[in-house]
Amino acid sequence: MYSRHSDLQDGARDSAGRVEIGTSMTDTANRPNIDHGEIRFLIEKNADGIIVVDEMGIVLFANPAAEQIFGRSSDSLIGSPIGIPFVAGEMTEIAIHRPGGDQIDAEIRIVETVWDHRPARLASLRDISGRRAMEERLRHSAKMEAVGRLTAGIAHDFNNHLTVVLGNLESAMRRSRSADPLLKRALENATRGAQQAAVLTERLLAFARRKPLEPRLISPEDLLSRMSDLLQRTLGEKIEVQARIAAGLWGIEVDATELEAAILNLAVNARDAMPCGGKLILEAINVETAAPDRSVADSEIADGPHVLISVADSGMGMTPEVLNHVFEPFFTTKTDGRGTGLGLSQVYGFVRQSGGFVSVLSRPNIGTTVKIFLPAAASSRSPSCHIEPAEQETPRQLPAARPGETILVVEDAADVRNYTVSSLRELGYLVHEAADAVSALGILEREPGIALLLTDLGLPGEMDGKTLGDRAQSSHPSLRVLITTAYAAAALVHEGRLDPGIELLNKPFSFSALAVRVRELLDTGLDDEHMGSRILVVEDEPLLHAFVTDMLAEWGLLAEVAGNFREAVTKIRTDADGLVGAIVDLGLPDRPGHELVAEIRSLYPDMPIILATGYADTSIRARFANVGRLRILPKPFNAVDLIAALQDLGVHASRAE
Amino acid sequence: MAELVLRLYIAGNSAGSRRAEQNLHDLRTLLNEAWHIEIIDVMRRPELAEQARIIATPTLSYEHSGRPRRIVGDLSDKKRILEFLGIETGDDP
Repeated sequence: MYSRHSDLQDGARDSAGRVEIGTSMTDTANRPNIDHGEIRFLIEKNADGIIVVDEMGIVLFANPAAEQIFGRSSDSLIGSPIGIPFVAGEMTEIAIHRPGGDQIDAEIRIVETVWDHRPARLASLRDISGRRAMEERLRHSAKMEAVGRLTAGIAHDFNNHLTVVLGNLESAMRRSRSADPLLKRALENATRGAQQAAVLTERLLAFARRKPLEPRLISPEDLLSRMSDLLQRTLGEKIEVQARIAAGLWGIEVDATELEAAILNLAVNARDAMPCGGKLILEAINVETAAPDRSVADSEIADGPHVLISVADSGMGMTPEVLNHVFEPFFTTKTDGRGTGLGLSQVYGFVRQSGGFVSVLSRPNIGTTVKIFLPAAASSRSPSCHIEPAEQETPRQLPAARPGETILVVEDAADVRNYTVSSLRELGYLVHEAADAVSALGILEREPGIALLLTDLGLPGEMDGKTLGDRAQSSHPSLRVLITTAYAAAALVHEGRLDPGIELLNKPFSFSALAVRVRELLDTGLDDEHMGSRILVVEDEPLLHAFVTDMLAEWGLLAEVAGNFREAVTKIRTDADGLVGAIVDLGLPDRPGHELVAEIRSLYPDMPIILATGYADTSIRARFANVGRLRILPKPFNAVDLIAALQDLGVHASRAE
Repeated sequence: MAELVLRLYIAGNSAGSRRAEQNLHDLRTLLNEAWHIEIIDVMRRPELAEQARIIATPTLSYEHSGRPRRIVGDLSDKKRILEFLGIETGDDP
């Protein structure tokens, strides 16, 4: 910008270093006739606003960019008593107040000049509101990141202590069945308190984006309809709940429980913002790109299709100062103890961890709208996905050990280890214990018959629980590994989800959770020998391979999906263990399916192959007539056709319960 | 002696507003008791800003008989401001 001033100065600089523009007087005093057409052009077209102000602080001239910045026409600006702009140094910042109350931050630079033979000041103004807002957002996201790290650290340690407290309370209660009822009540109260503390740390972890999520492909339509029914029933008569859920919403891959919690948190905030009643609108639509509405600066946000879920209220709204802090944990305006200050923190943490983002719009006395953008699942921009039903917790007898089952417990915190070891012994397991990875590996070498390694993720020394698990399994392939952790650290969570094959037990864990999880894991292994045979599914259409995968799973078979010829060949060459068959689409994107059939045959002459094709005419049948253990499956096919063809080829499939 | 009124128009708690306020506070030590200072937040009193036709902040308005004289900026150029107010400082930098 400054250089453009120099252009002007080169044209007409007098000895005092002043720029002289428009020196000719015309018939009106404040409408000079500018002789220099080029200078005039430069000023008119300048992207920065330019005004000329006289020694009394009255505006003499304004260019079109200045009209934009001030939100006023040149006619109304000329004659305005803006004041003499004084700038010490190169430039300063001022706020421009536009008609209607909007405010724009502007950088202002001054050059002394002569206008109509009188000294004047030429001020150039640059709108920096956008840059300001961007800087503010960056600062905000850096702050949230720092608070998140702090929170995760505290919650992690706290969970360790809670494991000890809850575990010992449970053990004390088991031993005091016939004891004094007062003692029992005291123990129950202590347990309740500790459980509430565990809920609190869970929320902290949710904010810190460290809570292990279980994302599943869900249909937001179903979930939101259920939520709006729930809200209608629970928010009370004074609040009118309106649901505007668009039909045909794309599928999203999120943890359904956390999404429900997020909407509930927003609804509770909305209710509390409307003590005298009002309107709550739950809205959901597909948006092709979320970019224009973005109010966060995180660079990792992906553009592209999102499902937008918004919760709007007609409540008291928030001031910009409050708005600035809303996502911080423990920030609350609910002074009467109704709020924990963790509601919006959960929303923020969950949405960011799910690859989306949140924006909050609020105006005092008008209301607040919170918008959640969640990325549409790549494979499911179709409305036909099913929500998985939530698991029903049923009370049951705690599963105990089978005779001789041995577990190795690795945990550096002695009290947590003692609790875990004594709990497992109580369940009938034989238990070895170690405080670090190196001694754990030593025990594994010495002691035969260890079926399960139960290790903390964070261990002293160079090896963490995950590395220990990997090492132990490489020398003992049948060993099961269960990792305990107070939070899902980066080592286990990638892009917000658990690495495949990692079995996790979250701290604090209860006696019963430990019993159930250990039993489950030890039993899964037994099932695997009968079930879980793998079938290679080579299909480029995502919806179709998702369908086939589901069907196979229903029959206890595991689909190994490849999208094209190349992927399929890599899979059969490198990872063929346990492959009991292949389902190949005849039309593949890179090379024809029949070449893949030949490739599979050359490597595995006996592997059963199903060739799926929409053109199952006689010529195709004739072409493959001489290939053994191959069936042609005409599209469209259903589950019965597929399973029948597999069974026909000798693949064992039985309906999974 | 007639009261000499200086009105500083600012906008909320922005950095520029705070800087102008601080600079005016510093300047005050150089002014005698005849000077009276008022600070007006245009966010809180938009009607006063409108009345005075304030279109940018910070603006320092020197209210005296006839037309008020104004300067706009963060008031960091103290020497020029004293000149503007017609006060001789005596010490040339």
